[in-house]
Amino acid sequence: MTHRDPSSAALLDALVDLEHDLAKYLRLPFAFLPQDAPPGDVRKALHEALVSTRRTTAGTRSAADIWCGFTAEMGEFARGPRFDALSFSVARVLAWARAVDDEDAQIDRHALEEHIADVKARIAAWRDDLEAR
Amino acid sequence: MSPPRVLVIDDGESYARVVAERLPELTLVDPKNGTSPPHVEDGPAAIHFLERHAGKVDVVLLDLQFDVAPERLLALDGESSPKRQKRYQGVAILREIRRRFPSLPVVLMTSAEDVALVDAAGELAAQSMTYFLGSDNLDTLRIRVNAALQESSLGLEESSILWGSDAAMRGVRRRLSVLAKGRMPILLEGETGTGKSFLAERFLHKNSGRKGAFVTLDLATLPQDLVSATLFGARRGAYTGAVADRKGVFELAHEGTLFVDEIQNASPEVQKQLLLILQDGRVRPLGGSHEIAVDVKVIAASNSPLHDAVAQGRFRPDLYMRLSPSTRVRLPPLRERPDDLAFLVRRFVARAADEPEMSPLRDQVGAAAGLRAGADVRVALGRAAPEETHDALVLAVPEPAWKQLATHPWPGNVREVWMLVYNLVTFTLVEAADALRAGLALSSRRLQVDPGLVGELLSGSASLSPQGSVAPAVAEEEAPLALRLAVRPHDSLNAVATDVERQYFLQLFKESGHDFSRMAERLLMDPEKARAVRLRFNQLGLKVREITGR
Repeated sequence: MTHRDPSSAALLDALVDLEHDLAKYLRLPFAFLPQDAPPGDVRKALHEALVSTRRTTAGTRSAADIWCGFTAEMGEFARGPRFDALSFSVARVLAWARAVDDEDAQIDRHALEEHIADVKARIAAWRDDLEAR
Repeated sequence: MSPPRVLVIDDGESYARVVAERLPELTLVDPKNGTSPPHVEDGPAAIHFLERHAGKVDVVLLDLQFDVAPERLLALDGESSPKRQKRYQGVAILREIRRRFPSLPVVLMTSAEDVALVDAAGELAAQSMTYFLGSDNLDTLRIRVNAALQESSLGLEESSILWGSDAAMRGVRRRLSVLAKGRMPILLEGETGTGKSFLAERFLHKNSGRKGAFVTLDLATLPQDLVSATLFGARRGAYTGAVADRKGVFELAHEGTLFVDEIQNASPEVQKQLLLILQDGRVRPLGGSHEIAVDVKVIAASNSPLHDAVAQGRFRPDLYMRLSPSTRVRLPPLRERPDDLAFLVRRFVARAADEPEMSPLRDQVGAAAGLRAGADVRVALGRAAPEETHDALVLAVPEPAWKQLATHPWPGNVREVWMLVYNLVTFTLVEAADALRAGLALSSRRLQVDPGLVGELLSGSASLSPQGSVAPAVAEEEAPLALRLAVRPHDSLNAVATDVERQYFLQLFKESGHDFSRMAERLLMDPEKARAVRLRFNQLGLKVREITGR
């Protein structure tokens, strides 16, 4: 039986939550959006993904809220190359926020979905890393 | 047709939004809890809603993870941390839905791999009416919802056919639906009591769209010298005793269905003649001068794999091929679908209580318990949730007796279950009626089923192997009972047989000194089976008081 130190177990736990709360809900609005959806629908999906990412009875959390919650919870412990890579990936997705309110901005859906998929991939890679220890 | 109604169970609103915005062919069920788009936010609320409105829901979309307060979580298992309970809450909710609403279709919005580490998940995934989304996309969701709705539309019960919830039987249902409409012959294989002739008439013929009659040819009872006349028909004078034209079964079933029962017993001559008719689609009646074209859908039934008979040289391979092995359907024996037993017992209890000969007894006992005439009779099985008694009599089968039923091999399959349940209902009601006559009052609407009675009723078939062969048993020779029986004309052979049996029982009862144990010893070689003998005695309409004058 393998024993994981308590702090890495907590990190693993936080990553599982992040995968669900952030990666899944970033992806969901696009997953069910038809490929030929008009730009207005794509913009609406982007809003849903970034701004009203997780809507429950407890309230609405944006993608930025969820990410910042993770960094605050994990603090310095999470820092390292895996964190840096994920941080970059999340920042790249959050940067699409400028297109939410700018109706003239073109949204390259393919690139956007790739960026979103990358967040999930980096969380999964980090989890695998921890689970292998 | 109104759009299918979807209940979304999700702590967030994402999936309800997907349905509202992307699947206009579905209607969201509104639980009236103020959510928009409407959905239910946790397991307890969902179960509460379904308990009252399950009939208003056609399919459930269920999220996996629920970030809700701990008191709003259904238990996943005894060991899971609160975090794990939240993460896999959808599995706990699914399990509760399967337990309470087995025929309600559910699509769990995740992949089976995502819940592979949850013990209960594999078992739940294998159950009918349960679908995993797999991948998040609109087409997949649409396919899963449609598949769930389609399976649900099959129903557990349909025009008195009890399909049950077992996946194999539902597969049979789907396959027979397709085959019924085609022109090809159908080969039904299944042990005795699996419902071959019932399905042939009530399902295949009924759904065939054919205008002609359903005709049965039982090869086990067909005398050899009547084979040709039975199959082809005969003109008057064709043979000694042919005093009038007689139509053969193929002519009778023209534009309809011919059910050939026990085809594995067909003699070489019958096989040869069947082959000729199937090849040509024409028959020439004996003594007739010309052939008649017949358009008949043939359904053949065998209680053993016909392929084995071919391999052993007892059945013509060319006829086997004509019967189209590709349309062979195997009806699974009951022991291969044990989860359907409770469903069958429940349905049969209700059906037995409604039988014309049973309903006066039911109403007599029901009236003593303060129920209106025609009230339902239900059954509570073992430790399963107790049945409501405010409007019904409930037969309570104790846990040990239910275990006996659940582990019995049921060599006679569904027919055996029906007979056992019929006897169980009869005897339990008779005992209650006897108690009332003796001046005792019913203390409740729950009538306890005697576990000993279940054992006795099962013992009749316990020695049979599942294939129907009788296990070797050595019985002592009994001195034969000298009988004088009067056979009176009746409407049917069945009525004659019952009358003869009644006389036999009466005479034996008298010769045994009114002692059911002695009768049981005589009839069943076991004095302990007096209860079963008395049961049959009552069923035959014999009354101890009238016979003994006591």
